[in-house]
Amino acid sequence: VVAFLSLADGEPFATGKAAYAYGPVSEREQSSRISITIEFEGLRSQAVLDTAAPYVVCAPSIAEAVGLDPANAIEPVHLLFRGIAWRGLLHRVTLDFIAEEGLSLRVSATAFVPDMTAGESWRDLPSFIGMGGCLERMRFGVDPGSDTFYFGPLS
Amino acid sequence: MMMPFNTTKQLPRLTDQDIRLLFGAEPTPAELTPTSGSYIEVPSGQSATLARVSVSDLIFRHGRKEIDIEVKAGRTEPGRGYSQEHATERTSADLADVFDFEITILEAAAEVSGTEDASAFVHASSEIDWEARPAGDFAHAVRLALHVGAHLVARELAMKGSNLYPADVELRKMAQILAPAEVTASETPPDPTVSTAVAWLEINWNDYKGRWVALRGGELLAVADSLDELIAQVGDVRHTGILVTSLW
Repeated sequence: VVAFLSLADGEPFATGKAAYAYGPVSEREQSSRISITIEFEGLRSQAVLDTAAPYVVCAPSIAEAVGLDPANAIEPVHLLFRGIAWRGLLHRVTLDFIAEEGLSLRVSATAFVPDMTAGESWRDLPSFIGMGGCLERMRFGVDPGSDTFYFGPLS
Repeated sequence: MMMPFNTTKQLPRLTDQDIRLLFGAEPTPAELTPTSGSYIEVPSGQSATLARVSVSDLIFRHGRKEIDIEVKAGRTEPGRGYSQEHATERTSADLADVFDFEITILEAAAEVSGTEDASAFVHASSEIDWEARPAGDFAHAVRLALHVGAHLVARELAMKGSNLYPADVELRKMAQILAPAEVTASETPPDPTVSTAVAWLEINWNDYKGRWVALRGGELLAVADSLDELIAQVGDVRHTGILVTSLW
C-alpha cells in the first residue's frame, strides 16, 4: 500500500492524494474554500469540502444528470444549510475520491439533494462534501503549501 | 427562565375501557358538555370524555432545555363547561396506563424544536424506551428527526428500527440511506491529469465564471450555460474521466 503520510507506528494515514482548487464558494463570499475532484455515480466534477455539513449536498443538476431516483429517497427532509432552510430528499450515493497518485477511494454516502420545485434556487452553488455521512469515516489532511488533499480509509 | 409555549394535541380515540379506567364508570350523555378553547372532545361510542394535552412551558433547567408536559383528561359535570374545577381530571402520571404519551411528547418536542435547535427533540427521544415501540413509530420518529435537523438521532433510530424489524421495507430503506458512510478501495485508477484540470480551473476561473465547462485534463472540450447544455455537446461523460463543473 502506498503511504503518503503515516502514523507513528507506520500505519498509513493517507493512501491517495490529489490537487485541489482554492477559492470562494460564490460571488457573494470572500472566504476561500477547498474544492476537490469527485465522481458522483461516475460523473466527475468539483465539490467543496464543508466539515459543517451533516451530509454530502449534491447540486440538483448533478443529481439529475446521474439519474438519482426520488423513489429511492427519503422525503421530504429539511436541512438548514448555508443560512437557508432547504427542503429536499436524502439519497444513498456512490462517490469516488479521485487520486492523482496512490489509491482512489470509494465512499457510499448519504447525500441531500435540494428540491428545486420547492421555490428555492440553487443559483451558482456547487456540491458539498460534508463531514456527516462521508468525511467522518475517512482520514484526510490538507497541505496548503502545495494545495494537495490527502486521504485514506480508516483502518 | 421561562419561555411560554402552548399547543394542543389530538389524543387517540378513547375506548369504553379507557373511560372505565379513567373514571371507574362511563359518563352518561347528560354529563357531557361541548368543548371549546384548547380542549378536545374525544368521542367514544355513545359516550364521550374530554382530554387535553398542553405543552405548558419550555424550561431551562441546569443549562439544558426541557419541555414540561401536562396531560389531563376529564369529564364535565352536567350543564357546565369544562374547567379544572368542574371536571374530574387525572394528570400524566395517572394516565400513563391509558395513553401513549411517548410519541405525543416527541411530536410536541419536534414542534418546539423547529429547525434551528433540536435539543428538546433529542431529549424527548432519549426518554423513550425504543425497544418497546412498533415499527411505525420508528419511521415516524425518523421523519420528525429529519424535520428538526436531529440527523444523528434519525440515523440511530433508522438503524435500531431496521435491526428490530428487518422485514419492514420503509425502515430498511431509511437505514440503508442514513447508515454511516462505507469506505472501500475504488476501482478508478489514479489520474495524473487531475492537477492539470485543477490548474486550468484556477487560471481560467474568472473568464468562465458562471458557466459550465467540460475538461479532459487541461484541455477544454466544451462550454455551456447549464449542465444539460454541456452534456448535449459532449454526451454522457460518466466513467470517462472528463470533468464537468460549473465555475461558481
